[in-house]
Amino acid sequence: MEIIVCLEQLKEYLLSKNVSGEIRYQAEHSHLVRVANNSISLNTTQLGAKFYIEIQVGEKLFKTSVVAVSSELDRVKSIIDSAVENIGIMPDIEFLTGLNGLTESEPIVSEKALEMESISSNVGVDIFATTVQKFAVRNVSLSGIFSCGSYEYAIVNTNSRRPLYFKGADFGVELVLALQGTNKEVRASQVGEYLSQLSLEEMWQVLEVQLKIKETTTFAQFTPRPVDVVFGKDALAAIVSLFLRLGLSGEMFEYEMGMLQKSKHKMGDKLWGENVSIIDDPSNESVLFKRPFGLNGLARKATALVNRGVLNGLIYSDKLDCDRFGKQRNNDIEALNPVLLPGDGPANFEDMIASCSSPTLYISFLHYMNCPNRSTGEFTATSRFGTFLIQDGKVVNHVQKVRVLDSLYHLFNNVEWLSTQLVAADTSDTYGARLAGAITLPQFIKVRNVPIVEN
Amino acid sequence: MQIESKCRESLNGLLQKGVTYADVRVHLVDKRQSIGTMCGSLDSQSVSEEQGVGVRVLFQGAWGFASSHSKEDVDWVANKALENAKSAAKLSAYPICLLPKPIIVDNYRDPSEIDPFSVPLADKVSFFLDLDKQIKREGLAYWGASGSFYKKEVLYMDTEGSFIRKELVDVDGHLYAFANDREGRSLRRSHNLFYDAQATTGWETFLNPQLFSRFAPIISEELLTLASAPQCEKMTADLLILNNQMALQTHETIGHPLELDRILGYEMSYAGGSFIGLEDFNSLQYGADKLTVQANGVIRNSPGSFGFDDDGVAAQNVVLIEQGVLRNALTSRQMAAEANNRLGRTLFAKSGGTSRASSYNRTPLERMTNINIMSGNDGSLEDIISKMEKGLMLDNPVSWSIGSNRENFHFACEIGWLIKDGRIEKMVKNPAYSGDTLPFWRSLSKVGSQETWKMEVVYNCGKGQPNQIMRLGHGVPVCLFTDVSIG
Ligand SMILES: [Zn+2]
Repeated sequence: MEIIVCLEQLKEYLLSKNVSGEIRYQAEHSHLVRVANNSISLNTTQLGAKFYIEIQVGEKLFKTSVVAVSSELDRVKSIIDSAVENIGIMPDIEFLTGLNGLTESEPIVSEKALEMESISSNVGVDIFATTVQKFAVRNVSLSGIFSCGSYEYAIVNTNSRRPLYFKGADFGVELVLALQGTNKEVRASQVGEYLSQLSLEEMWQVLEVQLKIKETTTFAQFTPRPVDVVFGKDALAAIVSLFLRLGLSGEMFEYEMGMLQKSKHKMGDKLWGENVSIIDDPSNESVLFKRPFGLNGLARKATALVNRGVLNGLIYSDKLDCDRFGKQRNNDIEALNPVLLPGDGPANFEDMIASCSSPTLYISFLHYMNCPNRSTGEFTATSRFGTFLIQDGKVVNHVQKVRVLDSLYHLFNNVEWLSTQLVAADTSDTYGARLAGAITLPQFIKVRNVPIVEN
Repeated sequence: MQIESKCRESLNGLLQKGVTYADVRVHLVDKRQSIGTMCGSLDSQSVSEEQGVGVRVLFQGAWGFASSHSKEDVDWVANKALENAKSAAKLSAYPICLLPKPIIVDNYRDPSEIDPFSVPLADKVSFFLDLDKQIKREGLAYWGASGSFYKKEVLYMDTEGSFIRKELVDVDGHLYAFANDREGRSLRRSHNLFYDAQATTGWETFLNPQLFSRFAPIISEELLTLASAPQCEKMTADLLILNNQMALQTHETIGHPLELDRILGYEMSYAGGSFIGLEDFNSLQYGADKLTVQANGVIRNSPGSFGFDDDGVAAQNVVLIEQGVLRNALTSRQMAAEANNRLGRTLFAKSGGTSRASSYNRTPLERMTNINIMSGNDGSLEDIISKMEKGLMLDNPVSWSIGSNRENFHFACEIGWLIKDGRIEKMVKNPAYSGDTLPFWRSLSKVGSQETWKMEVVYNCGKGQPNQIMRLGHGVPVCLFTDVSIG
């Protein structure tokens, strides 16, 4: 593999310069089709490749990155030259430690990567065209995305024996139907590693069920108050994702800037309900995008982060932050395979509805989540794409979007049940380089007394 | 072959293959350098260099786009973009057309005196380490100073004959401190570099202490007081919003809802829509009479000024809201034409020049330029405070969560001051407020005079799929709103 040879040569180059250093390569081959107003609004293909270089000399550190491909070895070497030239003027970082070696692994290549790269640009268009056709009589307008592609990362350092290499593939589909002339929207989404995992029929079914509720129940205002809430998988994924970043990041714990603080909390503290367990497990059968090593080149092993409500583990990924606190890195928060373990609750939509006798809101999706107070784990977001009021085992109204203002402590201490069945929710990043991500979690979770507030 | 000739050949090739329109953007230079300190030592430092090419093709009423990190790939990219446009044309309910624009052959250069990349790295590092020292106080948990510098050289060509070269320079800076309150909970105070709208953009921005370094000791002093301040209580009261928070308020509840692509439903599946409809222009009372808002892309010095947008349209100053009445939107050639077609009349006579892409590998979208609130005549900050009976003053966002159609919002801030009988009574921690967008802007009761107006900058505005992070500006005065839900 050309990139492995390239990284081996760059490692030798670093050694010949008498510096220690680490080089990571990331590349992507991405396709994205976007639809809005029943029309394709964007059909795009992107090739990207970048080298991230860190040089260390004693207590000095220099970081640089450059867009280049493996054949542009001289270009990368010239960037290394300039880093080596500049490192002398950097101030000492007194807590900086030396580079440890990386884990060892054979190159890992998804057999579907090539298929995803060479996919016809008609595939995404056809998904939307058939969906438009399917709902043609419903007076709705389709929006959404079809995203697919491959992503690579490779890493070597001057103390590692040979480069690590990972190439993965992924797709994500999101379909949103807006009822024309109203503010009402419904949504379905899927994520996977290869296209045969995609079931359009299933997504259409989800849309149908929700559309039917909007068509057959009356619209009502919901008076803000604490109420029991069933969160669907996408809403729950947003909550768990925040929980991982705000609560289970070792760096946040050390800096005391998140919801757990080293001066107040310790491993073994019972902080959440008995029925809440979160693991990170790249070998788990149910997870998508299994990554046995992170972008930082560290081995990732199955870890119980929260075990029956007890804090059991934290994720330390960043070397400089860990050096500051005398900690060792143990994982990579960018490459997690998190699972919120299931419970004994209903796993399909009908059973879930039937199980709710007292007034319960169903929230499928949380829009624009943010944290007014990180220390207390407080978060807020508005419901979107279907908010239903359930009572006596049936949906009685579809209601306007509501604002949730809760804390991660309160929420995970008030879980009434979690579904028995696990599903994957998409958390892939489109901010920078392509990196597939998914959280595995119960289809639904019911939480008691969730504060719903005005705006 | 020179890259210009290569691009011209590719565009000609596309015309021969029957495209209606195509453009190419080459990022010849795209550099970023960041330096950050924490507690007296260097915490982060990075340099990034990118380059690449993107081609956008309009074929039978549909867009196709492709990009590559190698500008030598321009032919491959052009052909891939055409292939993508051909398949997109199979599902096209609103065939795309573009409002006409003048052909432009021109250059644009950000006004800049000291190229931040020409300043020796050691000087820049010691500048931020020195600021770090100025923030340091007994009782702070963490503190630091950081800055980033951007330099881009962009080449734009299209099949209509426009040829534009842009040299863009931006800088941004940040000062921060964290301390724990009596309950051991973390609190933050920070300051973001703002710009002098009449000055220049280079390293010299950092050298004006009024914009940046003056605030280093201020944030730590304020934070230490804040750490023992009481919690902000729930109340309905007058709210005086200072500049940095006013920038966010303007950004989220005027800027985003007035992006024409959002209004027309093109961001529905991700960022959301807008509560504004095409029928609202020239009639909707968006805010109080005192509210006049411009999308001013020709402010001399701001990251929201760029000469020409990525449709090749000249930047301009567009009045969005005039004495409270909605007049215009953030527009591109495509969306303005579509809005006119949908209405069956001309609402937008031309593109407002706000179509921008974050890089060569993204397509242009309606993006904010400088969404500015015109200063009023209610005097200085002290004048406004002196006339308040009871209320809250606050600044600097901690959290923002906005309804998907931008119809409502919930914001939390770093710092608040209770005001009673025309004077600041005390500082309060963790202030938050919320509201419905239109009633909120209609409750605007005082707009600070020009002396309170500042050119705030935003470096992290996210929009679109794949996501694009954009830089822009908000020139805003301090403003007073009545009967706001606080707490
Ligand atoms: Zn924004």
